[in-house]
Amino acid sequence: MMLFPNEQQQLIESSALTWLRKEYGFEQRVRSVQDPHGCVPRVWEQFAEMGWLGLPLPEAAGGFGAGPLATGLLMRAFGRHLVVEPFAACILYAARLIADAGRPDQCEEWLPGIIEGRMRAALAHDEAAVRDPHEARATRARRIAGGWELEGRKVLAVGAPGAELLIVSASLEGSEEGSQCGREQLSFEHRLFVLHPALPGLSVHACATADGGRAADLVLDKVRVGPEALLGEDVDARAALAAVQAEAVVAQCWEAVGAMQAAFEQTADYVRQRQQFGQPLSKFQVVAHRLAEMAVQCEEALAACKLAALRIERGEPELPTLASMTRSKVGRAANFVGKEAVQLHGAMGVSEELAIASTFRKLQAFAQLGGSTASHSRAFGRSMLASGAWRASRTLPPGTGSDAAHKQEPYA
Amino acid sequence: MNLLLEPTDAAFREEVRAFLREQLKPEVVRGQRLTTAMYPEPEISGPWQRALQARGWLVPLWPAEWGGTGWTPVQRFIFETECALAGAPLVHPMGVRLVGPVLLKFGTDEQKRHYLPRILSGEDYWCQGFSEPGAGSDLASLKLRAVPSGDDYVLNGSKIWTTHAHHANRMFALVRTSTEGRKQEGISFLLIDMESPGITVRPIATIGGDHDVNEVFFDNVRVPRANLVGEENRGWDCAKYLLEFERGAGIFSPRLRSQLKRVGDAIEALRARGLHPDAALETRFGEVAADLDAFEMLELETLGRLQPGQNPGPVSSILKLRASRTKQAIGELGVEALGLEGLRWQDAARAAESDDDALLATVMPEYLNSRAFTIFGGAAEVQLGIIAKTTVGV
Repeated sequence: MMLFPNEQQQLIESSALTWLRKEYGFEQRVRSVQDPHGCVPRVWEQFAEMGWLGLPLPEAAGGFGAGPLATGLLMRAFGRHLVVEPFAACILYAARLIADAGRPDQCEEWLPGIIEGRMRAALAHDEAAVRDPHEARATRARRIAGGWELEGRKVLAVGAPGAELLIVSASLEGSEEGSQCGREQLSFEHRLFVLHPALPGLSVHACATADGGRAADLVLDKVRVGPEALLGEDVDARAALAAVQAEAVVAQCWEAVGAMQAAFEQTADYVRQRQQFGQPLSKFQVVAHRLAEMAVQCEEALAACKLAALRIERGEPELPTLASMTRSKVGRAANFVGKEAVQLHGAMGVSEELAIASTFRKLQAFAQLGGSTASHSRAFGRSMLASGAWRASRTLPPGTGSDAAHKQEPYA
Repeated sequence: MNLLLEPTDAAFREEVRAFLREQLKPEVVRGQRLTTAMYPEPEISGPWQRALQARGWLVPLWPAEWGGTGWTPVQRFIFETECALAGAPLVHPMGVRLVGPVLLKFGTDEQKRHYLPRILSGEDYWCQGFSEPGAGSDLASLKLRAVPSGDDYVLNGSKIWTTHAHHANRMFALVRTSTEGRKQEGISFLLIDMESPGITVRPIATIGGDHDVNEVFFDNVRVPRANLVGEENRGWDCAKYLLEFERGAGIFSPRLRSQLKRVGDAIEALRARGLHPDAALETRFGEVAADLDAFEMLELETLGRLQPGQNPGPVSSILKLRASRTKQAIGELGVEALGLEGLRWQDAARAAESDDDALLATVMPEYLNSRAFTIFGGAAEVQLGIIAKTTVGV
């Protein structure tokens, strides 16, 4: 058991922090927020030069094949500096989907350009009428002679403005036949399609997001594509999508922890300096205790992220469950830390004079993405109650053979 | 960084499991499972303590010459996890975890030779005489007077919240031997025979209906001066060292998981009666289980960074705070699951009907008793003050 990051992991984090401190200060961030795509080309090129765009992508495609811990450490650095560029959307969702679900020729065609920063891909999965990221999409894919016809609407596809490739999820028409049960029991299949934004019938409406980034709503009006647009083979894409989503959610939790830690440190500095009633605010016990609570929440949220990353690296089979555990813990902690940080800054906390308001919006954007905190808590609770997996240690690896039997209460 | 077991640790785990299969008796597991008080009764913890002592695993943290095992922190974590998840009772900590380490550090050779073997064998059952009616979080303001008289001290005053004083034959106590100077500088650490004339133990009923704690009165009680540990008026050093162990050496997460198992069993028992978890309960279960997962990782990581024998220091305040609050959250989840059934109070006839009924009867008392966990051993507010000072720097 090794409870420290290894040298390579430490190096990834320290070089990211050094670069961000030097190259991604307040003024650069303003330029990124003002960029029409929320992605300054020169910054994205430097991300490529630093090796970050290929970090979680397979070595065969020119990436580094790094695991969730290294990715998490990079994301924590991005969170600390409130990076606007759509790294998670374009790399952890879209590029990972191409790498995991794509055919070899598709990986060869697109991944090198993505890793080198010459092109970006974004995932358009969310829809206005579906809360659960795993439920059936209303967007339909219909088989037609010579390919597919796509019909539907997507909302808030982060990173889509300016992306060269849009990955669109759709329910396979006819796949949900015969099922009259409740929504959760519906059987259905998903397919993923890689579209060029200029396709006839496809319209892209860009908008800004609360955290300073950019997203787009998509309308697909009888968009016709050939068979080559299908990502991967003609099979259900739900499992591939769920695995990529789960790992990305964990990485976004790391990012949130970075923002939380920054908010906590800025707040501690602020209350040490700010004088009221003739003494620093930090001398008031009520303020000191709130800071202590924030510190504790940051520690626990980070521990949840580490547990998730290390369990994935250990070969966790139940990725969505693990993602929900992490999202439940970090979602609640981020909510607490964000609110306390603003409150303890007083009026400065709700102004744009300091970074704390931007940090709060970053954490709030995190809470809006990929299902609510409560829905993840419920998903985790349901899964745990059904499997009983919570009855064994969640850090120590499960035993094999006789060990597994041992867990079934041999003493009762 | 990884969460993989080294072959030696995996083998160690097998050794622990084999020992548990052989030595942990069903009646002891059942006794622990139905315990709602803070510590199991001596007839439950005693046999288990003797089994551990026979195997040489009772006092992992003591020096090797006195029975220490030299385990790495990860091995201690494995051991505590396996014991708790198998349903082993908590060893009564007053002797092996609290006064033992104080004697090892501050005791005379004679004191060590006399007391340590009796702690290990279980012949002595200790209680802790620290809190007084006027000295809780502000422990150093304690007043129980110890006045020298010949070869003895004469004690007058009282101690309160004394856990298992009604079972104990020994007490280690902080007493006031001087009223000069700073209040911390007039305190001494004394070993007291509970059979001494002039000691009265009065039970205190607590919120969950258990008899855990007592008030202990001292009326001209004579205690030999040879029972002083360390120097006179330097007892605060012993107290600080002991509190470090009380807060720092415990491994909480396995016990919390075993508590959650009991709540999970209650949920299953209710399900078997047709009362299924609703969305609200699933959500709460998810929150509490996620809290526990995160806490377990935090605790393991904190321990894993220690050298053998080293204490975690101020981060132990974070662990203590979160362990006590998680304990309460698990208890609260239990009573939430119980719903109306939680109204039933000390219905012994009903509890005797089946194992499930016996289990369900523990849920409310355990929750009520859990309220004490953010109060004793340094209240949550005291821990927050320490965290603010040491890790936040305000």
